[in-house]
Order: sequence, then structure tokens, then C-alpha cells
Amino acid sequence: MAPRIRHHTWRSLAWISPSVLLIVAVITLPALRMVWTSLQLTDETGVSHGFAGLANYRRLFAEPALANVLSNTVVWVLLVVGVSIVVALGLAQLLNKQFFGRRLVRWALIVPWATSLVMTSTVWRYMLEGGNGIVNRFLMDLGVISAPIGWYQDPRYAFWTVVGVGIVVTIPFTTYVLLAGLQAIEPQVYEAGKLDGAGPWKTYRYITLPLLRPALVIATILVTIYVFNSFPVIWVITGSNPGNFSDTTLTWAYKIAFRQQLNTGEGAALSVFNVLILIVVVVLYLRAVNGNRERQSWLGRTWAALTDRLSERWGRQRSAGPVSVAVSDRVHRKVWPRLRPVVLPLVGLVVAAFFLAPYAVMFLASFKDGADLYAVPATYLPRHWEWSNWTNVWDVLPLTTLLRNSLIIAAASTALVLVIAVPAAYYTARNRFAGRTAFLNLVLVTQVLAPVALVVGIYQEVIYVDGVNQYWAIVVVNAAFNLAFVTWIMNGQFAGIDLAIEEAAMMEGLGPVRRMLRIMLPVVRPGLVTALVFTFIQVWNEFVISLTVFNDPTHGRVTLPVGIQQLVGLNQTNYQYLFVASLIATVPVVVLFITIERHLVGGLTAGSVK
Amino acid sequence: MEVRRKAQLFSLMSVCTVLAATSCAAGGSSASGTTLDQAGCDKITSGAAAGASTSLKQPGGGSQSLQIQQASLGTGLPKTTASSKTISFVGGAYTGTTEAYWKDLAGKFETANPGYKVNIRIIDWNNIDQQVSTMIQTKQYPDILNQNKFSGWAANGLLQPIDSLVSPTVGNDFIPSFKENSYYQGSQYGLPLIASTRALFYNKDIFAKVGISQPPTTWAELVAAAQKIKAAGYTGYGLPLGGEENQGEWSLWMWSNGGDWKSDNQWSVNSQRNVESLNFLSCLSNVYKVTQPNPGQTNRTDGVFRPFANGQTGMIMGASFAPSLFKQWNSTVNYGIAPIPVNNGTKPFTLGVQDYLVSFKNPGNTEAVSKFLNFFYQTDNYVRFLTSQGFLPTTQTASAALKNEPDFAPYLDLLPIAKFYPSTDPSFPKAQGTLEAQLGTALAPGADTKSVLDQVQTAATQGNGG
Repeated sequence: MAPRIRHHTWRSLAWISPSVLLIVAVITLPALRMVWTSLQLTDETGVSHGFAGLANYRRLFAEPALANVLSNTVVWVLLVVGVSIVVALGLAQLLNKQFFGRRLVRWALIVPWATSLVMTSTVWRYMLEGGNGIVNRFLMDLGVISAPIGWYQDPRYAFWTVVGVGIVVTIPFTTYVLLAGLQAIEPQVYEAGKLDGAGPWKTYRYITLPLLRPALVIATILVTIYVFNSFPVIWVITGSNPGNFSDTTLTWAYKIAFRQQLNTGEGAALSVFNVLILIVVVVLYLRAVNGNRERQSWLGRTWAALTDRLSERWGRQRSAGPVSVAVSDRVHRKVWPRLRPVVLPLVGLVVAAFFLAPYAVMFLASFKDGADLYAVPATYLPRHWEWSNWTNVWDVLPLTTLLRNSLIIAAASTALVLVIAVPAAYYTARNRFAGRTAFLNLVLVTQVLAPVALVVGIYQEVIYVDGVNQYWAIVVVNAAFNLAFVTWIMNGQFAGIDLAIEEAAMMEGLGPVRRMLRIMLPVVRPGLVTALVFTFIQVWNEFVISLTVFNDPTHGRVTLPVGIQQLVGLNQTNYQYLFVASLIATVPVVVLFITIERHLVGGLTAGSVK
Repeated sequence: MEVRRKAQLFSLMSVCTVLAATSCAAGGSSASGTTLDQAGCDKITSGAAAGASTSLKQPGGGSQSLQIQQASLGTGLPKTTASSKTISFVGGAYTGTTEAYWKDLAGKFETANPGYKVNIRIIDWNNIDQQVSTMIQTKQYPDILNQNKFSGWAANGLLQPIDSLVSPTVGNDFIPSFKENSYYQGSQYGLPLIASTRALFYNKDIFAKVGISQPPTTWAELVAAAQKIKAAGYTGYGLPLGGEENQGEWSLWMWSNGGDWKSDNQWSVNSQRNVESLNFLSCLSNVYKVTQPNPGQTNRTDGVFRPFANGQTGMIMGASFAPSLFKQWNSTVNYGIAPIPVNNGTKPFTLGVQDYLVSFKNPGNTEAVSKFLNFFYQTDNYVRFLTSQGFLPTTQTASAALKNEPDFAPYLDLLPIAKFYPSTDPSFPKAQGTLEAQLGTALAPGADTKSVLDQVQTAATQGNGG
């Protein structure tokens, strides 16, 4: 597409410089610090003893566990991303259809996403215990297994267990990214397809998928990064298992720095290595999918060939067997419309039940007493309902203060990130300018860096600007880490909107700022809401950085996830309180989501420009 | 099926006992790996195993040369001009109430000492290493830190000698063995904060049911008891070698067999005797099969204490803080406490674990730090900390004050025979880290036990350099 408007580079600066500043300050500088650490000789206590050259890297590549950890990482990313995307495509399709109870299914799917990953992982670990785990109880009641299995303990199953949990916790997020893409597809397109006599598969293959492509590409990249960097699932469930059976490079970097080798230099080297791998993967993927139709890449070609063959086979079957044609036609015309009002809600119910199950377990466990929590075999319902758990937790934790702090920080960070990222996303979607690609790549790279790897550099900077335990500092840091997601999601949304919509406004002489605010924002509302929900949830649940730079219990400055962590004691975890607090922490996010959920409903695109 | 075939093979082998005994003389490097069998395992507890001549001295109590008398120097007054009245305290969350305790204490301290201020920050034990490392890397040293180690920071010159910061009454009140364990190169850098000891816990009801009258005193008796208990449908012995605190369990077995972390001041984690001990643990799980499933991946509190509290386990290595946990869990388990069973005629002992308070060198902080430390160690404040957190005292006054507490009394008596981790050695954290991260892998059937201990030995003897 030819550039439509050419601006001078300085004009573009006004739109994107806030993003660039934020990224450089909060992410690039600490990343350089990480590289520097990887070149330092650091002893067990964290004291630096001068330049080490590449010694840390040599040490890293000599580690006997390296090969196993690398292969785990590849399997982890491929399986979790692949399965999540496939399942999420189906779920997004389901949630995009009208059926009774759709709203409830959407709410159910937000819960796993809204609950912090640490807490979700904790409840999964609790459910997957060997002798007293509820998963074993359930499977034994069903007769699937005859003896308890140590799901996360037995080295044979541990890795596959975390992969399974990883998939389950990644699906909701992926589904929402794809759902936003689906809703941007205008219904008229489907009507045209129907007139041409396209069947469901052909519609999906030749209308939905191509139009969903930008969202799918972005979803794949974001989910890959999200999965690669999802530390808590593995760390909480199998982090204390001896050996490296289920370590990925990320959990291993933590073990190297703070658990086994106690070598922060070597840990930083692995983090650098991690980032390099991710950048290479993402760049290759982008090149593969972004090629023009003419010089299409191997990935695009494979994909096209695969789907073509599938649709061909579908078509052949139809012509080969007249009976089956009749059946499938009859199913399509007569049976399905009658089944639909029953089948879709039923499927929705099953989906909702599946994704809510861990939180139902959490809820029920929050009423159990110490003995009941670890009863063998596990009990579904509490034997004695300890209602006091729900009142005592307010004495154990300063929950009001924690909730207030987290609300302030999450709301402010979300607002800040939207104000900074949306204009940049709009401008880059609508204009070609010098440094555009560089900007988008810079944004993407920041998404690749895991906060846990940057925390030392960030802390140092926050000390430098005197921002330790200050609201503004944690708000700015959180905004920076979510900038990339919002920019990319919104960029994709803006780019997907037909220019014609804006042209009328241009005729009337509206400048770019007003066009963006008045014309475009209403159109991209589903994407905006997705970005808002995503950012809010990420900030709400952020742990590592808050723990370091915003942690002053003496003055009541602690966020909710950090405060809840106090319940994890040296010799025991107060699961019942932990679960109560996690559930309470989930409520504001779910409420926020329910209030703005209707904006996610499709069809907005058509009615926005009046 | 394969297991059964192996078992048959092993029973064949035990016919020619001599052969089996020589090839499986547990402990030899050839014996590690796949060849542990009934005969080899029995051999370990028969007292005739290789290396029995190792001297069984107790290094924990042996370091008399340290300058205990130094503490009488008195509270040093600050000599710096820029004296800071606000200090930071960073500590670990022992329980959900730890933060509340310290905040309350800081409030009382500030009332008693107008103008002084203590900022409290309590971090859970999963994150404290990472957080403290971040503080060190950014040179944001806490004025007072509560941790389970100190020698690494002392070796880097980051700590101030602490005996001069507390009054002689406080300094001379520590139980000598704990105090001795707080020195690095002749200076005391750590103030003993809390202690815990270990003992064998046995379920009296299960013992009565299967007809065992006395708790076992040797490894052989322990195996016999565990087999009876197992046959009755319980877990015979709960063995936690998962990453959470397996250094405690390991130390108990290592020491009870006469081995040690170090011998003659050299690291000896992979000594023949220690390989034999690890082989024995593997025997418990893979040959006698008297443990719970996956002992190599089982953590102590959730995996062993909980089932014991629920009455499913015959014996565990319990700890002085376990009774308070059992109480919180409303456990009705009827249990007894006995000395750690030994092998090779080792003398009775217990594992003593202590955590420390240390003070980093921040200009001008000595006066406020000194005031706060003295305030904390006042008997009533200190005892309140111990009782609320469920730990044993490290001072004589507090021991006397707690003598009649039923939860504390049996363990207080064990303190004089307590042995400690070599935590005064700056290499210990790395050895411990590697042990925690790898020991459990040795329990997999057929694992090479020696190579696991070799890794720990390497970690202990090699720095991060080069």
C-alpha cells in the first residue's frame, strides 16, 4: 500500500516520542545493565568482583543441564502456543456466535485470566498433589486411574503436567485477543460469501482466516512471548522439585542466579541468551508471515497449501458421495438450526465449567480447616465449613490498604499506557515515516524482556530518581511494560480499518488528532477494551517489580500480590487464607470486566460511523 | 513386571551373599547406580560397611578458639558525626504473623525512643534471596537483616562486627554453641536469632497397632519398624528430599551414619561414608519400599508433616516447630518424640538450625541499630517473638523463661548436643543450594548417587570465578 500522507519526521516525533522515552528509560537501560552484569564476575552474595569477559557465558554453555533445559523450552513454547491457539480459535468462534448464556461463558473465561498467575498456579499445584489431590480423587472416582499419581512430583509426568496447566491458563488470554480480531470483521463480508454459496469450511478458510490473519499473527507473537516468559506456572508447580526435569530457560536462569549456582552473572548471561533467541524467533516469524503475496515465504506457502488441500478434500468428498452431500446439506439446513439453541449453550456450559473448576476448588478450599485441606482422599466439599476464614483474613492482612494501592496503581498505569500508546499505534498504522519499522521493532523487543531479568537495573534507576516506594514510579514502570502489547494490538486494529471511513472526516478538514479521537476510537472499541482489560490485569497481578520498588509496609505501601505472598511462611502456607485473599483480589477485575464487557460484543464496527 | 524380574534376580544374587556383599558394599563408587539390592542395603545397617573407621568427632562443638569473651567490650557509641536515626530492617516471613510482630515492635521502640524510626520490610522465604541479592547489587544495604547465613557478606567486608553493638548482658546471654557458630575469621558478625532442633517423631497409635514397643534407635531397627508399619497399610517412614529444606533431612542421615559436610576443615560431601548414607535413603525408597511415593520430589511440610499430622505415617524426622503446626491444623495425631536413630555406633546428636541478625555497614547507623537490637533482645520482646513464631530461643534467659512450656521443653534439652550446618563457611550457601536443587534426583531408581554428591562437592569447592 502506498503511503498516503507524508509527514516530516519531526511531526512523527510528537506522536511516538513519549513511547520511546518510556521504553528507553524503563526497559532499555535496565536491559543494558543486564548485559553488563552478564559480563561481570559476581560472587554468591551478589558482590561484583570486576570484569569477567565471556566467562559467564562459557560457564553457562558448559552446564550439563543446558541441553535438557533448551529442549524443554522449545517443547514448552511450541506445545503451549500451538494448542492454545488452536483451541482459542474454536473458542473465539463460539464466543462470537449468539447463544443463550454467551455472556456467562465470557465471564467464566475472564476469571482464569484475571486471577494472578501465581495464585492460579498455586491452586493447580494444590489440586495436583499426589495422595490428597482433588484431580486424583476425581479421576479415581471416574475409574480412569486406580492409584494416585504424583502429577507434578513424578519426574515422568512433571513436565507434561506443567505443559497442560500452561495450556489451560494461556487459552483465555489467547481467546480474547482472537475474539477482538473476529469482531473487527464486518458482517457484510459474510453475507457476500453466503450469496456466493460458500459452505462453512470455505467461509472460514477464505473469509474468516484471511481477515483474521493480522490478529492471528499478532496473537501468535504475543502469546509466544507471554508463554516464553510465563515464569509462575513452572516455578510455583515444580520450582522446588530437585533436578531440571521441567525447567525452561527462564526458571533455570532464576535457579542459576538465586538457588543453585548463586551466580547472578551466569543468570544474566542466560537472560541475555533468552532475549536473543526470542528476538530471532519473532523476527523470523514476522518475516515469514509478512511477505507479500508474490514473494510469499515458506511458512505462508505451507499454510496456504495445507488449507487448500483440506478444502479440496472437503470438496471432493462432497462430489464423490452424493449421500453424504445430502446428509451434510440436510444437517446444515434442517437439523442444525434446531440443534443450535441447545448445543451451543451446552458447549458453552462445559467450557465455562472447565475453566471455572480450579476456582471452584479454590472457593471450596477457602472454607476448609487445616486438616480438611490435606485430607486423604481429597474432599470435594468442606467437612466443617470454616466461615471464619473469610473474616479472619481481614485481620491477618491489611486487605483494604492492599486493595486501594493496587486499584490506584492499576488504574493509573492503564490510563497512562493508553494515553501514550494509542496515539503512537494510530500514527504508525496510518503513516509511513523514517524510523517507523525501527519503532515498532523497539516496542516488540521490550515485550520480549521479562521483568524478573531487569529488576536490578530498574531498582537502581528508581533509586536514582528517588522513586522508591512512590506511586508514580511503579505506575511509570508498569506502563512501560504494557506499552508493547497495547501498541501492537491497537496498531493491528487501526490498520485493519478501511481508510474510507476517515476520508469523509478529512474532507471536512478534521486534523489527525480529532480523526483519531472522534472517528477511529469508537471503531476500534473492541480492541481498546481488550487492551484496557489486558493492561489492568497485568498491572493488577504484577509481582516481582512491586516487590522490589514499591514495598514499604511501614507506610502501608504494598500491592495486593505482594501482600498476599506474606501468607507463604517458611514452614507452611496458610492455603485457606491464601485462597480467600486471591478470590477477593479477583473480584475487582471481574467486576471491571463485566461493566465493560458489552463493548466487546461484535457489530460495533458497523454502527460507529454515523 | 520388570521390577518383579529384577527382584527375582536379586534374590538369586543374595544366595551368593559374598558376591553380592562385595559388589554392593554400599558406599563404594561402583555400588552407586543401578546395583542397590536387598543384600547391599542390609549391609549398610549391619555395621560392617566400608569406611567404618572414620573418626566420629563432632565439629559443631569443637571450635573453642573463638573469642567469646570479646563481647564484654560494651556498647560502642557511634563515632561518626552524621548519625542516622532512621534505620531499615529486612527480615524473612517465618509465618503469616512475622510482619505484624516486627511492625508492632518497631512502634513500641519508636515510642520508647522518640526521634528514632525503624522501617520494617518482611519478605517471604521464596523471594528473600533474590531481593537481598538485588539490594547488594545496587548497594542498598539494609541496616539490619534477618537471614540464615552471614559469612558471605562478612567475607566481602559488608558487615560490621555485631558483638560491640549489643550490651554485654545481651552478648553474654547467648547459648555458647549458637554464639560460636556466628563468627567469621575471629569476629562475631551474626546475632543468633532463632533456633530449631530435630527429633524422630513416631505415631504411637500405629506403633501399638503393629506391636512395636520402643521407637527405633538404629537404622536397622528403623527399617524393621518401617517394614511392619508399611505392611499394615501406612507409610513406614516419611522421607522429604524435595527442594524445600532437604539439607536438614540430609544432614540428619549423614551425621547419624558418622559422615559430615566437612572433615578436617576440607569439604567432604562426596565421601564414601556419605555416598553410603545416600544409598541407604535410596534403599528405603526403592528396595525396602517403606517411604511415600516420590521421596526425591517430596517437600517437608506439605509432603511429610501433613500426612504425619493426619495419622498416615509411622515415622518422620520432626522438628521443634512442628507441634505448633500440628496444632494449627487441628491434628489429633498421638505421637512420641525420640532421639535420631543412628548407624555405625554414632553418638546421639540433633541438628540445630539457627538464623541470624546481621548489620550492614551504613555510615552513621550504629547508634540506632544498637538501640533497636538491645530493645529486641529484652526478654519479654524476644520471648514474644519466639512464642508467636514457634521457634526455640538462642539465649539462656529466654530458655529459662520457656522451660515450662510443653511445646518447647523437650527440644530445649536437646540444644546441648546440637550440631550445625557449616554456615560459617562462605561456600556453604552454594553447597546447600546445589544440594537442595539436586539431592532428590539421587532417589530415582538406578540413579548414580555418587555423581549427585560430586556436584555438591564441586559447588562447595569452586567459586564463581573463572
